[in-house]
Amino acid sequence: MTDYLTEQEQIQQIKTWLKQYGPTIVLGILLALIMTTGWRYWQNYHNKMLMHASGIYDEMLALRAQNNASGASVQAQKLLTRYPKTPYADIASLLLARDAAVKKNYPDAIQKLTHIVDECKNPSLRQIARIRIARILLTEKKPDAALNLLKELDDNNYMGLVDEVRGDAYVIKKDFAAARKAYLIALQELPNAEVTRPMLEMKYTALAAA
Amino acid sequence: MLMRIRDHTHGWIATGIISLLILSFALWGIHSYIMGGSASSVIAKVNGIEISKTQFTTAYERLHRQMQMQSHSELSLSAEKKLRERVLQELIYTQVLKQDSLKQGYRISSRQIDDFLESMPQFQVKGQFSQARFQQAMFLTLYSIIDFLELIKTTLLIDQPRLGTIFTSFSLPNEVEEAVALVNQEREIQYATLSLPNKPMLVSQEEIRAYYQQHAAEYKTPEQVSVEYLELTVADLEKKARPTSQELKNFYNENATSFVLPGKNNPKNAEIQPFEKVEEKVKSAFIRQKAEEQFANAKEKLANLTYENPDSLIPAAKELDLPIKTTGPLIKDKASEGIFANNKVREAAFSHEVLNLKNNSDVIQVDPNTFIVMRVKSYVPAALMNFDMVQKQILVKLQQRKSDKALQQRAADILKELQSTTHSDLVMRQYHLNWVSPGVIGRHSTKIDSAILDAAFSMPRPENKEKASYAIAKIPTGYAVIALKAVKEGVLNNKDEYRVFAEQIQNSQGLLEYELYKDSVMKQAKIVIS
Repeated sequence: MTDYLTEQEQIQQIKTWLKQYGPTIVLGILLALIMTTGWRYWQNYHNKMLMHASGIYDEMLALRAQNNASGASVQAQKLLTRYPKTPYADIASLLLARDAAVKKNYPDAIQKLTHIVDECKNPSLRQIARIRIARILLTEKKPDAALNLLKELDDNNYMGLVDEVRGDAYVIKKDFAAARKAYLIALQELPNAEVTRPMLEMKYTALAAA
Repeated sequence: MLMRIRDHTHGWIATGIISLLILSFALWGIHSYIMGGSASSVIAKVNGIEISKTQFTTAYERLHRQMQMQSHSELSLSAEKKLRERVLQELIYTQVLKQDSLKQGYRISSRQIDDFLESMPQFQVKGQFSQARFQQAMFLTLYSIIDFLELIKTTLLIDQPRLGTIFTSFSLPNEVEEAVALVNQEREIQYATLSLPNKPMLVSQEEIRAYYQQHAAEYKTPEQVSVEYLELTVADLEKKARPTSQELKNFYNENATSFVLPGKNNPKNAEIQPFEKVEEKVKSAFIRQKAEEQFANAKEKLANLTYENPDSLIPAAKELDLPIKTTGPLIKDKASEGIFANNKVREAAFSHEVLNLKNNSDVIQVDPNTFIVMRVKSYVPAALMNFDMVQKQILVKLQQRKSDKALQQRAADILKELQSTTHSDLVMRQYHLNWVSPGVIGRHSTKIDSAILDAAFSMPRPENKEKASYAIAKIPTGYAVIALKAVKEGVLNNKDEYRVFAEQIQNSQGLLEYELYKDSVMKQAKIVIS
């Protein structure tokens, strides 16, 4: 049942209500205001920072495309020191690792790639780095270390590529049956392998069983 | 809008309202707030983000037009369907990869978009970006400038991780050496061919009959349909036109400037020609314009009359004064004469609506100046061909099959004997065979049959110098027995080749790594097609 109140009483009631809850409401609105502006400000700042990194990244790739290794690595260092924890820094690490691998400085290349395997948030990039390390280990004639490293899988979509490198490791170990098996699995796992990976097919048929 | 509110309001209440507004935008997404967007206009959702039907239709139209311009003909219905699927797939792909780039933290500034746009050679005149060229291209390709800039942004966003993967890949010395050894590998082989015997194999009447019954589906005449149709063309309308001289004079007066004699040296001297001199020109221009006007009108009438009377072409024929034409028997997969060379037209003749329901077809555009409507006249279903007609054909087939089998068996016997002896000469003599010796051949040799080449490079290596390894291969003339005597690892043909191999391995590695990256992103995405 509704109680009928006089106008005076109603105003009085609203006043009491406002006295009781007013400060809370104002505080709530203020908080919402601070939170949204704060969030927007941070978003804005974060985006601006990423766009700066993006510009440097473009320069790095352009220099790399022109085969200007020293110029590209200067930009890569910039990305690593000024913009760590961005995807641009991850690729910068990959670029420096490539640089080291091309110069046959394998420990350095492995160290830079290991940084990605340990730190990067993107599983596909971790997997790419892991496979690249394994290939360098094979160049250094360390097939067991490579096989060991490939045991952990970051992104199971890369299974085919992993199996191909496994096959390469078994060839170095002269375990040709295991190599053949690994190559065969790789041929089945990789999309459209006969066309996209003619070398894999050749490696497989070169090990034809008598 | 928000800026305006902020500029024109004061006090903390207004600010409070704005902050609430901002909060609600942040929560619900500004996009859906402004766009509204009803559910029916969505064709697919990628991780909750919508691809609208409009987006899809524009992309489809653009590609459709491009493909028609390339092939200079109308696309068939099935090709259109495939194109539709491809466009949708492409839109989804792009959306997925773009979202992934943003999620990973890739960003593109408007400065990068501008730089890219200005560097596009398509929009350059003498090496400089040309605003006019750009706007003309936008007009021709049905892009709005905003959409196009968005497209560049999306492309650059997708490209950053792609190029990052490809440009950081590398090849290693042992990999290059292995590739050289394999790709440039040479093999020393000999081979002998076994040909089909001249005497045909015996095949009994029962065998032929049994084959005929088991493979009835292969021995059928194709289904055939004859149709009657109405054909509406601009040319016919032009022929029917009989303009009065008054009409022509009026037309001339309205368009006199179109019938000027160009001034010899100066356009200002252009001189308007009197009607009598250009009467023929005026007449043909008048007829063309009238026919084109009538054409759209007549198409509308044709569509309505054939739809309202689905079981006859006669009312439309009478009203539009068109003859009902008929075709001979048409076969679905075989181009016929005239307009029935067009796949789309034949597909319509065999469609459910026309063939099974026996209704008039829709109005079909054969080309921009021709429309037709058809209905089925007679139909001959697919039928089994008479045994007598195909008997001979089957006999030859079975003979070939038998002799092929016998020859394969013979090749297998020879292979077995060669593998179990050290005196291959004796085996060869026993089977009256002679080795052909092409010598040392490379992977891409053209000296020998490609089937022999393929087999030669997939054979196991010989155990030692004395004992070759053997294999058989099917070749067009029968079978070949192959002996692999030695394998020579490949060497570099020249210094440059090392660099070429290294680059190829590096690129193949990078491209594959990115291909798998894409697959991975695709598999994780939540895609709903409505």
